[in-house]
Amino acid sequence: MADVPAALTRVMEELGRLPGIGPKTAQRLSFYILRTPRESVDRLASALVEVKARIRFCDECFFIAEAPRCAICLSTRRDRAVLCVVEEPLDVLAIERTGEYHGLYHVLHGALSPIDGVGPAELKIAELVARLRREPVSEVILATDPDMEGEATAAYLAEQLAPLGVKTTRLAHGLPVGGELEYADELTLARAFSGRRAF
Amino acid sequence: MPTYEADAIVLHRLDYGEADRILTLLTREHGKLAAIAKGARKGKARTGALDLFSRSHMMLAKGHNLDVVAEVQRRGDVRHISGDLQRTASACLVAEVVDKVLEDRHPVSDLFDLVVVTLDRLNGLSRSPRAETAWFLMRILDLLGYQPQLLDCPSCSRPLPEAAGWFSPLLGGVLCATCGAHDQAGSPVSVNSLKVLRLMAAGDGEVYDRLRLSEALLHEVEAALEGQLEYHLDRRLKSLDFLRSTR
Repeated sequence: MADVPAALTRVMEELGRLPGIGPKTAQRLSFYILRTPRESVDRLASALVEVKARIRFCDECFFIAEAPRCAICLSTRRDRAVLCVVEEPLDVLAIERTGEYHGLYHVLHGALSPIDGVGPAELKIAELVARLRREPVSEVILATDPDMEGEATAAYLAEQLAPLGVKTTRLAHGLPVGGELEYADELTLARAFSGRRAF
Repeated sequence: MPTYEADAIVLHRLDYGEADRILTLLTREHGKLAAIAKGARKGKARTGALDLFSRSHMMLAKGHNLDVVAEVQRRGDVRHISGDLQRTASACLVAEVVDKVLEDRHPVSDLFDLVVVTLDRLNGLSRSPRAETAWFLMRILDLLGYQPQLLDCPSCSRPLPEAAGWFSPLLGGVLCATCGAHDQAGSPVSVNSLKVLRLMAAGDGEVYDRLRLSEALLHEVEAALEGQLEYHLDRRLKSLDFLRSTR
């Protein structure tokens, strides 16, 4: 079998380290890069270097930022009495796209996962509690994923936040918009029933 | 693509690609296997049935590398495990142990049944998750052939009196007072803990369910069973470390 040049092997190995990229996808991407014009590859390389040099996590909410505090935390138009707790920075972007929420955020950077060895110390939970102690927040919205780890994280947070006397709410569970009732799984349907509201 | 059916429980999930998940499944018919659930992170109708510990009747399509989840019909109910950290962590321990002890595609129907019963009982709220987990540990040690020696001293083979002793994972049982004095690795076992361990080893679930286990007693029983399991698996279990940190 022909030897793969070391430079190409290195690209494959580095790409293969990315989440969701297996060896075959890494190979495909590497050969795509080989065929791509030099300028495009330079743009990609400099974008990667720049993002690492300029983007950091906000000291306050741990969302992405270009300064010690992110644009959302610095904004004077946000409702500072409401805090939405999410698992990942991408969840902030998803909620922002709705245009419905105008409060602040707190990004945990993961969810409790006993099976993967992720405990409270690995998440930004102590920072959340400290933040709630020093800031006048009246409601915390727990917007962790509605799966096993997300629900466990929400339950743990509710327990940790209870002594602080802050109102804690959980995002509603239910049927997806545009979905069909007959295809909904039993648990989703049961939760949609228990969380029904006046019309 | 040829397809096959399986009664399956999700032991582990790994995000893959844009919206897919690679699932580690425990199936009654085919043992442990990995399968890809395409679009599983998009919140479609079947997503809930592919959550951790969910039990479903699945149709799987044979794939090139990984089989593909084609159809899912939920069977079990894990709604009370979800949202309860202790029960979730206990279910994680069940899933992690099973994942570690089973080879791919080697069906063990007794093990499948044990997982189904344990998850049902963890979901049932009738008993503390710690007591349920301890029962599971004894049963899985039994299935693996590592059930602790509780009637005779594993060191000198003399019958054990109904008295406090020392549990040695290395020797695989409770040591008599004479032998226990020489073995430092392990944990103490009170006379009541020894009785409970013997009852669990005998598989007397009905009596076990009626027992009121004090914190101290449960702690000794857990220490013995967890020590025995980790010694034989020759590794630390992440879920067990998590559970210990929450006790």
